[in-house]
Amino acid sequence: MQFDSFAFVAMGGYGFYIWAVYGLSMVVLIANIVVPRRTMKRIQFEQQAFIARENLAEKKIDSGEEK
Amino acid sequence: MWNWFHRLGAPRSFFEMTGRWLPWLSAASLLTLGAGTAWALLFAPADYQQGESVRIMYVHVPTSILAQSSYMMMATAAAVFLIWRIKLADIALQCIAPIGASITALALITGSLWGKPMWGTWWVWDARLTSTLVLLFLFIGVMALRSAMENRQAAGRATAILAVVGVINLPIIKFSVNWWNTLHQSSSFTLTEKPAMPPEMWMPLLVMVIGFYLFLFVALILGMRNEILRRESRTQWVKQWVQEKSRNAV
Repeated sequence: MQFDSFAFVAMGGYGFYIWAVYGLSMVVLIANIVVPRRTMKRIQFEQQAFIARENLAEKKIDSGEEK
Repeated sequence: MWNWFHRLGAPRSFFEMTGRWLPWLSAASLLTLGAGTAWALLFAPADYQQGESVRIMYVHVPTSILAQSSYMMMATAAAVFLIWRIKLADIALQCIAPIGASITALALITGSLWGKPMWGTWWVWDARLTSTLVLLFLFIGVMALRSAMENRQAAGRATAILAVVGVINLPIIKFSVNWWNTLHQSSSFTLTEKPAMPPEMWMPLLVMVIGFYLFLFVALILGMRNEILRRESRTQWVKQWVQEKSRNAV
């Protein structure tokens, strides 16, 4: 059997509906993974900045710089 | 066993355990969804009545199942939170709502994209479609209610009550195809009876359902881990974890 790529895209006339369904689903699934992963990176970044500030404040107090 | 559950209920142990599970769950989800999609698009036969359009089923049925079971999970988490005040249940309740909303929207859209060529219309106000639309509004309502309230404890309780009350919609969705005359066909899958489809069709469908469930768990775990980090951001273990992470990244 030879693979007919045109017939595959056309899907017996239902191509638009079928590819819209699979395309949209992919977008929704990927968004549900990518968005929380980005949020995780942001939280880590903010947390690091917070810890760095805290450490800096402690150092200042130790060396008597804080007025 | 109970000890294990007890530890899982603590945000910190949940965070650590899911950190170990996540790579495996993600790989399994990707694999099953990839295999299921290829099977559904390339190898599953066309329907003798619906032709190639039946391939929409391999997305529409799993998303519809997931829409309802993610609501069931959310309502269960809500009940657990109301009864036992377990913090992790509140976190689960908060994180599942946006995932459930997007999956329910997908179920409606894929149904619409199937309805147009098959029924000749994008939408009808029949029982199953309308009750599923109500499900979407319930998810959105839970999200909106939480974001509208300042106090986290009050918001948690209010959204939990809304989620529990909304459970009444689930049997309506389930039996809508039996109770009312509708365009929508009855269930394709039941636990007790043999499927009405040939194995060449229900096997890829089953693979897709499993893949979508795995995806749901991965997405939920990702969201819950973020929320745990946010809520516990001033604790020692989170600080240690963040510092360890940044050390490993360098």
